[in-house]
Amino acid sequence: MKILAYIPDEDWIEQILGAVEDIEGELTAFVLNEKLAETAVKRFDKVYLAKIERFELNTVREAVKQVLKEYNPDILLAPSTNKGRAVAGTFMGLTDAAGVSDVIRIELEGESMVLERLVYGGTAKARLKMHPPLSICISPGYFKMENVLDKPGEVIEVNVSMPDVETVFKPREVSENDPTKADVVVAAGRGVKDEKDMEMIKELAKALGGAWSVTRPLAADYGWADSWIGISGIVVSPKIYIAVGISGQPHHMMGARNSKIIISINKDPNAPIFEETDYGIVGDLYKVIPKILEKLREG
Amino acid sequence: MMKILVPIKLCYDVGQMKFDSNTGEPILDAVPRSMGEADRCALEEALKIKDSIGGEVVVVTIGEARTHSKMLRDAFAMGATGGYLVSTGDYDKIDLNTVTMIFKALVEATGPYDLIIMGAGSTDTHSSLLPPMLGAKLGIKTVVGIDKLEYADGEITAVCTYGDGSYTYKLKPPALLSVTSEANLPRIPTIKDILRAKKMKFEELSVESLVENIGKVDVLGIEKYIVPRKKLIWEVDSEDKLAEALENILSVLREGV
Repeated sequence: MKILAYIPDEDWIEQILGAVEDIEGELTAFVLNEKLAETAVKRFDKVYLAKIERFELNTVREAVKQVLKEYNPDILLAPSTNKGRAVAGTFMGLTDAAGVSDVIRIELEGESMVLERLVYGGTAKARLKMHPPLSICISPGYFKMENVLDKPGEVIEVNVSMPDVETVFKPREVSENDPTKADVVVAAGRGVKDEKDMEMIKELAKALGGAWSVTRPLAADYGWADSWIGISGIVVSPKIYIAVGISGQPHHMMGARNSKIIISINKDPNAPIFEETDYGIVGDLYKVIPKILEKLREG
Repeated sequence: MMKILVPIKLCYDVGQMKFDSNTGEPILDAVPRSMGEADRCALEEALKIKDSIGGEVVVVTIGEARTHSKMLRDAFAMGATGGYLVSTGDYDKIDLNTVTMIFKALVEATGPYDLIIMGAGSTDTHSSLLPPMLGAKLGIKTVVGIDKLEYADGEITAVCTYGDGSYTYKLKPPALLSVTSEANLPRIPTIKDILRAKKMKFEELSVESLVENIGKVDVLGIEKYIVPRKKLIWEVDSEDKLAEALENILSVLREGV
């Protein structure tokens, strides 16, 4: 099989490779910057490089058209992120390939593929039988290739047309707090009543050497954070996820469900979060969190 | 004067999903449906443009009159000036390629449109693939996942948040734009709007009149997604119970960290 993988950044290389670990074939990457091409070329047979400094879909579409003139993949792989879905959808529109996103499992069945994807806000999984040509967007945190071997590939540069869409890019501020990379994530929900109480959440994250985040209302409605965990925000898969005052609505849980251990603190015993909890406390977070901090300080 | 098309989808309320306790299959008949959250925001953006410079806002959906006419009337009540229902017996299983071809054929038959504004992703299947697909298929400029949209002096300004930061795009119509549910707070129609909408009619088209081949998704099964959890829950109604719970949780934290 011929596989073309859109790699937006280095963090996705192992996940993309993990997704097709059991499929034999030619592995080709599509990347938008030179530095990433240098890394990817050690892992892929071929790397198509379109130098597009600032992501702009119409310019990317022209580059994908150029790649397709030379290379007709059976499978396009991309992450289930904004950019990944945009590239996958563009590929589908240009080729009539079928496609699916939020994929958590891939099996080869003869000439077909059986894919498992999350649906209905991550409350359900669907098993679908699909046939190449096919576009597959994988969910973050579900695939990982453990032993990535170096192999010599080649970089092929793709001509890029000048965009006629003016693009201004403002990079995300580099912060030490990165819930997508932390082993422990402490997340606050609406049970946290005041912005000043976020200090307690941040302190707990710091004490555990982890990162903190919030649910959508706290970021989008109250402005207490720049991003949030959930289907419309970021997806995390830490070793330990601590949900503080979070009820556990499906759109939030889709961003947190892949955590190894979930610890919850909520005063409502009927909160749906307890259905998805390993260790839970039904109690007042304002009593429980200071006690945990106190115990952690004691060592 | 602008002519804007807004494709809308009738979505399940995923907060109210119910599953059969024996088979784990979803009981979809028991789950309420309404216009997708991001679709509603797309309609609001289209209406804002119409309110400021005039024009038409046409909605289109794929489904059955029995289930979908209420949503079309909701769109009329918000301010849509016209609507199409592409009727098909089995919408849930029609594949994305067919959906894209249906919208492309509709655009060609009823357009041209200055703008196509749609929700970035649906509330229930959230794949976000349709807008970039349709944009590529129509060969028009496309911006997806817009959190903030402005239209002034013939120019669109679209702000999108992707993983690595914020992107601001400036472009001129014609274009396809997909907006997220963060884009705005959609207007709530008044009783007068709702009564006016009741008298409005949408045009019904058969799927066969727009596309020749109808591709279907081969669904082998859908079941509740469960990640096995220990579910050790302590109700801490006394200091002793709190101490016991904390001891357990702290040992997990110390082990994990």
